[in-house]
Amino acid sequence: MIPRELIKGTLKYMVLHLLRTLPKMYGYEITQVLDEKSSGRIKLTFAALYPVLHKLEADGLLRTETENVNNRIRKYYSLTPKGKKESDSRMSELREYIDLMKNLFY
Amino acid sequence: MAFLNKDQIDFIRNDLKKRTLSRSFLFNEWVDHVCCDVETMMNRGLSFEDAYGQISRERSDIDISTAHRDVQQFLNHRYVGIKKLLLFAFLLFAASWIINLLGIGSWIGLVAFIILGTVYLRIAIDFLRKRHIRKGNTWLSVLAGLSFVGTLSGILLIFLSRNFGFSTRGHGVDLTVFGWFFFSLLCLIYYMGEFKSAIEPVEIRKMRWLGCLSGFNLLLAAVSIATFPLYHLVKNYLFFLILFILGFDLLVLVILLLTRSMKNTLAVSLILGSFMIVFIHSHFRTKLPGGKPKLYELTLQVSPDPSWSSDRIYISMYYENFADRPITLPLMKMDDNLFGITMPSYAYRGYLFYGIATDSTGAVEYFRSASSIDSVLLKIPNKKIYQLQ
Repeated sequence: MIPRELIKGTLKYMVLHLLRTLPKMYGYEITQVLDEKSSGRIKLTFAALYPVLHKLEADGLLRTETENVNNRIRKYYSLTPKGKKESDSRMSELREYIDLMKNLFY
Repeated sequence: MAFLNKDQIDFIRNDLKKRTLSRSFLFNEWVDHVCCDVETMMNRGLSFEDAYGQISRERSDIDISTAHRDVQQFLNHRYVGIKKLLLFAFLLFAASWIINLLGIGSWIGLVAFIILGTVYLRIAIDFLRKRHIRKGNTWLSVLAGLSFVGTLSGILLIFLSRNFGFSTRGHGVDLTVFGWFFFSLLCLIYYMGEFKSAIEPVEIRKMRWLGCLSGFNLLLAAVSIATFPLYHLVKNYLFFLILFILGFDLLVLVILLLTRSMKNTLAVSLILGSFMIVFIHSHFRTKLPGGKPKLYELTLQVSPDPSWSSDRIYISMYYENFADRPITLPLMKMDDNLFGITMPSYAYRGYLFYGIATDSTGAVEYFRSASSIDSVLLKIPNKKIYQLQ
C-alpha cells in the first residue's frame, strides 16, 4: 500500500490527469480506476476524494453535471478549459519533480 | 452486471439517512458511492443483503462527516473575508449614526458604504472567475458590477453634496437605489438557479425561500425607483414605504440569524445593503447624532417698504429645473430690515429665489410683477446679504 501522505499530496494531480484522459467521471468511478491502475495499492476513501473534487470545482478547474442513473442521482465531474490548462502544466511540473526524485534517490 | 432496483436504493438511502448526515450537500454522492460499492460486491456473487451488510461494516459513517466538514471548511473560508467585511461595514454604518464626535459621522458612513461597494465588487470578481462553470455567471458578475458602481458613485455624490455643496441634482439617491435594484436582481437569478438544481428537500425549501426574499426585495427596489418620476404624486406615502422596507429588512435579518442562515453571503449582502441604502434616504437619520446636517444661515436685507409691517417675510424658491414646483418658506425678522432663516446645508442648495412677500401665498405674485428682481442664485453655505431695491 502507498502511504496516505503521498496519496494526499498527489491526489489533485491524479484527478486532473484522469479527467484529462476521460471526458467525465463520477466519484466512485475515479476510486475504481485508480484502484485498478495501481493494482489495488491506491484505495481512496470517500472522505479523501470528495473534498478534493469539490475544491477543484470551487477553484474553477472542474465543472459538474447531475444525472439520474439507475434510479439514483449521480454527479459527474469534467475539466473546464482552465482545468485542462492547469492539468497540462501540473503534469509537466509533476514529471519534473518525479525526475528530480529519481535523481536524488537512484 | 447487477444493478440495484428502486426498492434497494430506497432501502440504502433510508438506512443512511438514519445513520448519517442526510442534510449534507454530499449526501446524494454518498448514497451513489455506497450503491456503487454494493453493486460491485453483488457482481462478485454476493446477495444484496450480504453486500450491503459488508459495506456497512467496512465503510465508516465518519467518512461523509469528515468529507462534509472538510468541504464546508474551505467553502466557508473562501467567503469568510466577505462576511467579516460585511459585518465591519454594518458596524461602521451603525456607529456613523450614533457617534458623531467632531463631525466625522458622515466620513465613517462613507467608509461603511465603500466597504459595502467592495463586497459587491468582490462578488462580481468571484462570479467572473466562475464564468466557465455556469454561463449565467458572466451576467451575474455584470449585475454585481453594476451594484458596485451604483452604490459607490451614488454614495460619493451624496457625500459630496451634503458636505461640500456639490450639485448632484439628486442623482446620488438614484444611483444607490439602482445599485440595490441590480443586486436584488442578481440574488433572484442566482437563488432561482440554485432552486432548480437543488435535489435535497431541505435545500429546495431554503433556495425557494431565499429566491422569494430576493424577488420581494427586487419588487421593493422597483417600487422605490418608480417613486422618482412620480415623486409629487407619492411624496406623502414615501415615509410608509421607507418604514416598511426598513422593518422588513430588520425582520429578515432576525430570521436569518435565528435560522442560522447568515452563511448565505448573497442574501446577507442584499439585506444589509438594502437597509443601509434605504436608511440614509429616510427621515430617521435626522433623529440620530450622525444624521443631523450642518446648518447655514441665509440672511436677506430688504429696503423699507410700508406694506412690509410683518415680523416675517416669505421667500418662494424653486429647485433648478423645477420652476413649476416652488416651495415657500418663512424668514424671521432679525433686525430692522434684516430677515433670516437657518437651513440644512444640502436641503436647499441649488434653489433659485424668485419672490419675496409678506404672506406665504403672495410670494409668487409679488416678485413676478417686480422687474427689478428676477432671480438670484442661492449659494449656501455662503452667508449673503441681498439688498433688494
